[in-house]
Amino acid sequence: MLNKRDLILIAALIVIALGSLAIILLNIDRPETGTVVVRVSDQVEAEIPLEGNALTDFAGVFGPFTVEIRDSQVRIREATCPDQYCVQQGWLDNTSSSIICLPNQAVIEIKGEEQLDGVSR
Amino acid sequence: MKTRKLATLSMLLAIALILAYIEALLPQPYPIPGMKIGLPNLAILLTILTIGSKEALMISLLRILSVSLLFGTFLTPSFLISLTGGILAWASMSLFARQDLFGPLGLSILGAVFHNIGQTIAAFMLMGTAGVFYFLPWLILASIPFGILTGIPVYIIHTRNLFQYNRERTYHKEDDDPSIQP
Repeated sequence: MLNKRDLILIAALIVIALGSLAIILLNIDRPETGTVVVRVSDQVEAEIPLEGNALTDFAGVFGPFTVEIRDSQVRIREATCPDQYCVQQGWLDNTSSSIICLPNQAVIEIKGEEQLDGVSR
Repeated sequence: MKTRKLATLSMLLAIALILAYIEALLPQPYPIPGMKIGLPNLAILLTILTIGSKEALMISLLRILSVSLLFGTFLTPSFLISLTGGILAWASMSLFARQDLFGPLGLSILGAVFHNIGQTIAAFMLMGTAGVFYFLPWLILASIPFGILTGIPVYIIHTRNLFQYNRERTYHKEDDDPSIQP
């Protein structure tokens, strides 16, 4: 069913995917403290410090959603969007990734503090 | 457009639509946003292999348009992301189908990979966050089993000649099914 070239393609894809995954995971930064940036339609709605426990409500393009911060992690706790991908995505704890809610056009990212003290590290 | 071609393409579009609907019914327990099996790609690849690339593009675009109208996502970011992914998947599959490099399974995997690349680029441009690229390696890895899954029916249909379409088809004696006689 799979010819030789199909198998080469699969092997090449695995190498590319695992290689880029290794690069991403080796450079991942999970800051203890930092800032959570919430954007809706490319507008910065809020910059919340990544500390303690906090619940914040936002108005997205589709409807309201709730952002929860706990243990240096952030997630969309609730949203009214139909697909619920953003809620299922769960907790975000690093600066490489982001939580995206397409119907709400919302993006949540973590900014670490090493932008300031990167030299001293 | 000949009636026969119109009917065949309509049937393939209906298959693509129903596969998109079935996919929407399946539970999505994946932690990676945008991860899907890509069932409608089956109809697109079948069209490329049996009829032609131009017709496959037509079906792909009409499918994305119809699905967006049915699910109410027309002109929203998810529509634009689907569109970019769909066009890139079609382009990669029809380009490599012409080269005769890969079999149906390889083409299906390639289509899935380029669908994900297109979606990620569109999401990056629309949402303005490089965080979307974080998921791309996972999506490429998932493309392999999902591409094989959607490619197997195409492989069976294509290699066993279960679905034939000839541009210059005329009446043959072996066509004793009265429903397909001209």
